Amino acid sequence: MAKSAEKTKKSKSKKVFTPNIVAFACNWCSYAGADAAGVNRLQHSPNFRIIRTMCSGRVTPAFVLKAFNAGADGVLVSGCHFGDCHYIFGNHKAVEQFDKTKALVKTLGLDERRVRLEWVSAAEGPRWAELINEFVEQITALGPSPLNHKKK
Amino acid sequence: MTIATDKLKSNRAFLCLECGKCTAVCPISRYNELFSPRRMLAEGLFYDAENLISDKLLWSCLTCQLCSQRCPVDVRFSEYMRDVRADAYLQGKRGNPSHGGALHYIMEMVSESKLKQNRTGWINGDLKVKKKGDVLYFVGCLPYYQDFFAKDFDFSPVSIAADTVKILNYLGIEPVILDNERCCGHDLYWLGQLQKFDELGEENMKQFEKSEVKTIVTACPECALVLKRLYPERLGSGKYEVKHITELVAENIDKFNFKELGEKATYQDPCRLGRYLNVYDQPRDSIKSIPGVEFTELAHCRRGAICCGTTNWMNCDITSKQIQKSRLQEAVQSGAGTLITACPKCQIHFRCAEMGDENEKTGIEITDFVNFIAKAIDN
Amino acid sequence: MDAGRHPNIEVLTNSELTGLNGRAGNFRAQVRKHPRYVKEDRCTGCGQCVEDCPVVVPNEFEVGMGGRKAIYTPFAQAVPNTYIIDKDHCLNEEFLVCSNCATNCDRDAIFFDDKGEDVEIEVGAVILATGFEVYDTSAISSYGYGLYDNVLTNMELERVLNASGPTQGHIVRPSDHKPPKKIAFIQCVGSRGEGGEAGCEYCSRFCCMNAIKDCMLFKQHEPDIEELVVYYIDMRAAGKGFEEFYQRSFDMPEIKYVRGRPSKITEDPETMDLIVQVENGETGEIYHHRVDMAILSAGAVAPKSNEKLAEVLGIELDGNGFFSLDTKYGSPLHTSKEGVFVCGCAAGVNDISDSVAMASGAAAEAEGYAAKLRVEEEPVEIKELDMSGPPRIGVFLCHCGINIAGVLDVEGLKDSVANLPGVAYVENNMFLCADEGQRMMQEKIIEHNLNRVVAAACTPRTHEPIFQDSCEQIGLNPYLFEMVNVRDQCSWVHTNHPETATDKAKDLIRMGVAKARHLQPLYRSKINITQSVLVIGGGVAGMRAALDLDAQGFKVYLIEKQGRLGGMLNHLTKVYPANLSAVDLARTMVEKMKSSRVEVMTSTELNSISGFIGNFDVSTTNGDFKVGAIILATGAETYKPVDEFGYGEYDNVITNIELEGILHEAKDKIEIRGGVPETVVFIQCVGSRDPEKNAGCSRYCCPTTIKQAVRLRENGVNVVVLHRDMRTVGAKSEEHYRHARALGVKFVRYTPERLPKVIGNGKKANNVEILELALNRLLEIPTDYIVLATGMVPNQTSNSHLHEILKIPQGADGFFMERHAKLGPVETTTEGVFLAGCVSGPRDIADSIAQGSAAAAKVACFIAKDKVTLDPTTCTVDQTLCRACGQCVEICDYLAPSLTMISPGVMAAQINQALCKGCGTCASWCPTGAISSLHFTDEQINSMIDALFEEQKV
Repeated sequence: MAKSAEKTKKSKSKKVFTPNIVAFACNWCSYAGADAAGVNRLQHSPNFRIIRTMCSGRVTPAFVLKAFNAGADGVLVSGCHFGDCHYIFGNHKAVEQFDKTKALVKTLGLDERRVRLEWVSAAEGPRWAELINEFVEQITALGPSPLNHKKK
Repeated sequence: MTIATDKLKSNRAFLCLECGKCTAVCPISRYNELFSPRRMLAEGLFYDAENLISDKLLWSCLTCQLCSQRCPVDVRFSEYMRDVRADAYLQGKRGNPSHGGALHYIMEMVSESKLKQNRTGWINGDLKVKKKGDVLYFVGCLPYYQDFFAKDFDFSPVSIAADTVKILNYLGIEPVILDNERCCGHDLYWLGQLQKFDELGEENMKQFEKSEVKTIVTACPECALVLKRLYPERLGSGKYEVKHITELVAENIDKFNFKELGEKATYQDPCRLGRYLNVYDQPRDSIKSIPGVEFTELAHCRRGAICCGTTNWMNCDITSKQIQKSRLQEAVQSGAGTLITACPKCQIHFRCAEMGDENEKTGIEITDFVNFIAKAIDN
Repeated sequence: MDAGRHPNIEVLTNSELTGLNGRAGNFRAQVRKHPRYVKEDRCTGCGQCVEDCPVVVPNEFEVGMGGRKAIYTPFAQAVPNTYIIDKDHCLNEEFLVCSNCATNCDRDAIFFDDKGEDVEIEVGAVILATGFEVYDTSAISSYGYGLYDNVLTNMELERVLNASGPTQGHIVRPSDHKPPKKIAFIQCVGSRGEGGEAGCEYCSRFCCMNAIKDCMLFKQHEPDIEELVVYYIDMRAAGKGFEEFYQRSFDMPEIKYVRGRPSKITEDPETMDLIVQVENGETGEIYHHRVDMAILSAGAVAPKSNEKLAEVLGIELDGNGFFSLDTKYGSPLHTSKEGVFVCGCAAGVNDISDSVAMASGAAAEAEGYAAKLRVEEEPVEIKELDMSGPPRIGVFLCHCGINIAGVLDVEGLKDSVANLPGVAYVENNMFLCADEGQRMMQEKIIEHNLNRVVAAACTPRTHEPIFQDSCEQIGLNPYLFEMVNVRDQCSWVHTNHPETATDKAKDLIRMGVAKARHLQPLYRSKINITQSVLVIGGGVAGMRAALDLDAQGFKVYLIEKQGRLGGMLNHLTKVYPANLSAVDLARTMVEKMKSSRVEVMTSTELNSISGFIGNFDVSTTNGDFKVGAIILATGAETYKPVDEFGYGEYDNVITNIELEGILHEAKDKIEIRGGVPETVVFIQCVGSRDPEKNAGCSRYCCPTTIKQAVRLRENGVNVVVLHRDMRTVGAKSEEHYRHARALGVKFVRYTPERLPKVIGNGKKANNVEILELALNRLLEIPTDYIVLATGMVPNQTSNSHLHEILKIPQGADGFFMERHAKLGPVETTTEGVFLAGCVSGPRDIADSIAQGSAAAAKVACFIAKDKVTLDPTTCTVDQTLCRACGQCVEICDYLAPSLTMISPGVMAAQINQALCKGCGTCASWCPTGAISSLHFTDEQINSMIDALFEEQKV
């Protein structure tokens, strides 16, 4: 906590980079997990914006590429753990889509660590908070995406 | 929004006689009666393209130039489409992009000069390439297609790149391949995103200049059109000559020692290679010179060839599928077992058309010119 | 959550049944609602009250490992999400005056003088779902629970392993907070006769799988763990997929299973390590196994409160404190009192999927009494507002007391929204979800002709339905509403960074407004339903389902391939646990079928089925008809041994099913194939637990062998059972196993590496040779007869026929797959098609009956109405864009898309709205963009991405 407070303070002095992260979260597990982090008041980095989809299988390579093209520094796709998908195998299909996305991201010359596919259940508020902190830290370490138009 | 007079002059729209030959020959119009090049031209001439700009059909034109081929007054309908689209684009209008627009985002993303791509992973140990040299091989979108289509369509787009290098090596050429080649911008050009097209072009031209090559070879008709004609038109000429691989193979056909293949093959003329660049004989001559290959023509061929049904990854729909199906049917009717095309995109579209209902599949073998030639020189 | 929100379910928590008068169908139940001290209608669950509560007590939900305040919610996803005051610890007594919670509450929800309430409700039936409690392991002093810090129970471990538990999923040993490297699991603590008075005779059933799962989780959390040893007597992986799961754990070399029950655990006082003293039952070695942590797999016991409840209801408890069953139905759901049913662990221990099936089953039985209490929905006509024209968006910002406004700069947010394109009106409100807030929102929508509404408040998962209802009430299409989560996912989690949190909220609202600009009205459609049911298969499960549905007044068709009803029952003698005669049970059920209105068609086969939920066209060899739902109850087959253990070679080697027939025929003397047996050897797991033949455990065979062995033994026959693990997990099974041993039945263990060898000459087997593990010697058992306990395998021909017709997925084992292994045991991925009995995996009679009832309940849920309302947030196809590539058809697990001919020679996809669940996966696969995932379209999601970055581009 203290660590991210420090970061925010520095960002005001315009020197330190705060990343833009787009997080696609499925309605039933990961979005609920992010809510659970809220219910438990688990403080985590604010440098991400959630877009809710019903299923992680909905997230196309196009959405992720669009986010990068628009200037995102990192993109997270998050769904239900295997066996827990509200739509049975939607998350397995998300894996297939994500494999394509990741391959493209790499070929295009973005660091492949800028995209992640994770599973967070409705009960895993702490895991969501940890995941966000860890991902934000990773993207901060990688620095701005070459396509970040703001390049703060 | 008025479409500028100078544009209507340059694309020769003012000359239109409203004879309708364009619509009569248009492959889109054949399956979609709402689509009429003649009416679309009239919209621009008499109504400032007001409705046309918001019409999704604006993005359906294949810019295949079959209409221009027939037009008695040489109206450049494809260029007219490009100009209207440029206006539409500025107003925030879009067509229906295939694959959610993923491929367009790729085109836009690679215009960023800071991006250091990883697109040369397909160069395996058997292929000889150089850092400096006289001949540059411009690979095009194949590495992206590999990531995006290889699994779904069960074919390897980068094998076209690998076989191109193999052919060049066979001819004693070790080509230069740019680590950071950018998309040529072909699709963005025809979609009216001319600013992005220019950005991409400038990036590429800069690299060409730096590499000091004398010849650029490409295995993609679209790249060939852009490098040969569109860059010089918009960005000035470079000090190099551009050749499509079919031209290069034909020029050097005497140097090839082909093995016997024993296949009956036919050939799809890609619009950019045929009607735009006038390359008809070279691929045919090369294919025919392979022993054991029996060559047949499609019912519509050469100047009258029909497009593969989709361009610019835009408005790929039921009409596109019908065009593709008719094309595949022609291939089957020609008696050929293999349909050769010299454009990777044609191949992707034909393969896509073979998906779906089992009863509709033709089952014909589809291959690239480069793969076919490489197979014949295989030892 | 689903139950809490269901319009027909009223949840009374913190309440107790104090009396029950009247008869089944017309009960009057007296319920004592204990005081909560927080008004449910005012509490928004915001949690402000908790902050200044000075009291911290151990948290029961975290098994005492975490703390909670005196005002609290029991756990994160509690329903209702209303706080409660623990009066035993609250400091608001007459002589103390703490009322911090009341001061903090902006909603005046605290009510210290709450006296509770007594209510009387009319009910048709009662279902007991009282569950179990965990055995108090401190009763077994030799394991040192409570004495040694590093001895934990399985329940404590569950919380520790849980990411939202007291240690956030980090595993540390309590004594020194270091990650443990070596862990021992001790099975059967409090189960299977352990612990004298305090222990239980039965097997608690869940603990073996629980230990295996925890070992796997341990390994996942702590990859460098060194040793996980499970000390057990029999590993009881008896359930669908359980054995396969157990086998998978062998791939992790850290996990070891040692047969042996530790005699004691001692602690090394210096290191606080534990020393587990145990004999390895297979090698005879005595281990003093030093571990960092020991987990006691504590069993399940009946809740104390069952006694009081039994008294109120006037029903009996069994010797273990669980509710007694009325066994005459062979059903695990009926108590001795008509109209009172049990499910889950109320009448004995069950695992999750069986508990869920029983719950549905109990619901079906209860519906038989309560069907007349069904309420019809009254349609309300509301005139729709004019939603045309360019978007006029109203944005409503909720302060949620100080929950949002205390962190975010709400005035700044308001300013940032005002100039967004399409926004026509912005207003802030203290509590937008409260009645006043909703009314204000409705008035402003009308006053300003708003045609899109955005609420920036809490989470759409709980509150979107409330806002949508308010929109709908005034005629605004509910799908023109969009919710932005600035509380749960913003102000609550970025409390210390108000500025960046406000920036984030601005972005999120801008994204929400962008999506709102692209929202389209959507309309719920209704489809008609044929209120009748087809049951395929006339065994116990099928008959039970048919009878339950008939009792509720539904038209039922039952088709059976054989010439008579009864299925497997016709081949059995007695049915455990109550030793009910199979013939009597079959006869009773068949009689009931005859007197019911069920249309029974025997010697009938299925030709084809087409259609979808509510509208299936069925064609059989006995005529065609229409139904709204289908239950598959076609059962399974027993494994046919091929060249195994002398079967087929020797005349005196028979299967357990053949023996069943023999026992059934036998009058006073048991004769097997003309001879009177002196010794009978049973060989277990023939065609089970063998990856080559049938990887799963067939579950029914161990109890069946016990039942047969007891019958033989009671007739003076010497019986030896050769087994791998005795898996007597069903009701009373363990007790029967104990009884069999008491009668002198011998049990000898073998391993799959060293199978028993049958030795004989001519057509007769004489001996069975087995490597006996206790003394590690070859044992030759002379015998007259050998019985092979054959496993249960899917009926391949029938299953593949049904699979072709209905497209229900089959698992690797060939059985049909249920929708969810735990939570949807009788549902399939195809709406309107259900499973009951052995068609989805091996089951015994009682469980099959419960499944029959469960399937009936699931069917009744939707055919009770003549129409079904379809959620409009599905996927649709723009056929002019469709290329009929068929990828959507391939990708959908619900069979919603299909390819059809739309004009001569032109195919296109269409999506059946009744089958589509709206996940949008097909839309993401569609190459042309022909498929739209309504309410989550490409356009809408793209507009959100654009909106997020548009400011930054400037």
